[in-house]
Amino acid sequence: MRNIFLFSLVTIAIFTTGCSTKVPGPMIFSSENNTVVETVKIRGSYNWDNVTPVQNLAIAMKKAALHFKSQNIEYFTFDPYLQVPPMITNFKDLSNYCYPSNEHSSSLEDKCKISFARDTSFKNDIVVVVDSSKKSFAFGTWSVKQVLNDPLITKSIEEAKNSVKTDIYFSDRDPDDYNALSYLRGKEAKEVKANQYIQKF
Amino acid sequence: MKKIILVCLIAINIYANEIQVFTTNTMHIKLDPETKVTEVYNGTLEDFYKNSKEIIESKTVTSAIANGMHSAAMTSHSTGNLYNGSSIDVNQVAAGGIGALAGYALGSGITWIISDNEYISVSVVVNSKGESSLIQTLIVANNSISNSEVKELGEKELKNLLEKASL
Repeated sequence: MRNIFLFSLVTIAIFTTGCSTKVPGPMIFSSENNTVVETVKIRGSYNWDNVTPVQNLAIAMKKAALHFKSQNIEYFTFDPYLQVPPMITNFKDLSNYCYPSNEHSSSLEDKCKISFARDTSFKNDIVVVVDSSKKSFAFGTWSVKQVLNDPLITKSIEEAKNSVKTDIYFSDRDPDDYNALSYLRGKEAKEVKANQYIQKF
Repeated sequence: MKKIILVCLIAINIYANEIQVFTTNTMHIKLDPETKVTEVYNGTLEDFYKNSKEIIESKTVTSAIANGMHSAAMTSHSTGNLYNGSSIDVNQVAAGGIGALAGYALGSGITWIISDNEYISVSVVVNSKGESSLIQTLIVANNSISNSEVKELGEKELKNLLEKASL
């Protein structure tokens, strides 16, 4: 009996530890048909305590898609530095790949270099999206139209809105925060202001 | 004791091998029941990145596109439509291959370490209109899996996509 127990423990240990694999990266997507038209940095929400990383991601993705739409850009890719593989081309996959434990407990690790700066003085630590403008045969691209119509993005933004308390929301005097949160609360008129967060390199 | 063993066994089952599957359709084409599928690659993501140019420009890919387009043209009453569509590959194949569409290249030498294993299954699909695309299925597992398992998972994913298309 003890042997079975020990065997079980050893098996668990073998299965859970795994061996680290070095993966070369980040990859550069190159194609004559794809030129970087525009590179933008996108912020999620500023309300760090109430908004989860996945909700932040949803906000950032919608902001990016709105911006690209205004520029008549149909397809985009992530900056390779973010380590999001080009096979990930929808929000559900993105959140499951980057944050596997988001929906249910998972033995897989968090991936991607997508993070949102808590300290607003740091400009680097935000989502970066590189536009490739055209779809490519060789690798996956995100469709702006699909992002704007993605029910999961809409749902995540709604959840974020619900989790942002009004007092916290207005207590922040930082005008940048005010704009970002106005966007969060769905005031369409403020969306233009929210676009100010999209900073061109 | 029995309970402990049971818990252990459940834990083994949970952690044995968790697998995630992600798929992209590079050209965003609509698949249909007549879609022709040609498998191109099953293996680790790392090897795919290293050899992506050769894989994507391989004869398997170009001939699959050419054959698919040919058969679509044969079955289509108006082949003119075939060339008026947005299918970028038509021009590419006409121009002598898809070389210009070369895909990945390894980057600036920055490496990152992950303990999960990543694999990819790649297939060329050509729908009944003659539009072609790559279906790339990324497989993430916390334990290593064999190439035949990668192939199996890729085929399953494609089957699901085609079943959805025929609904």
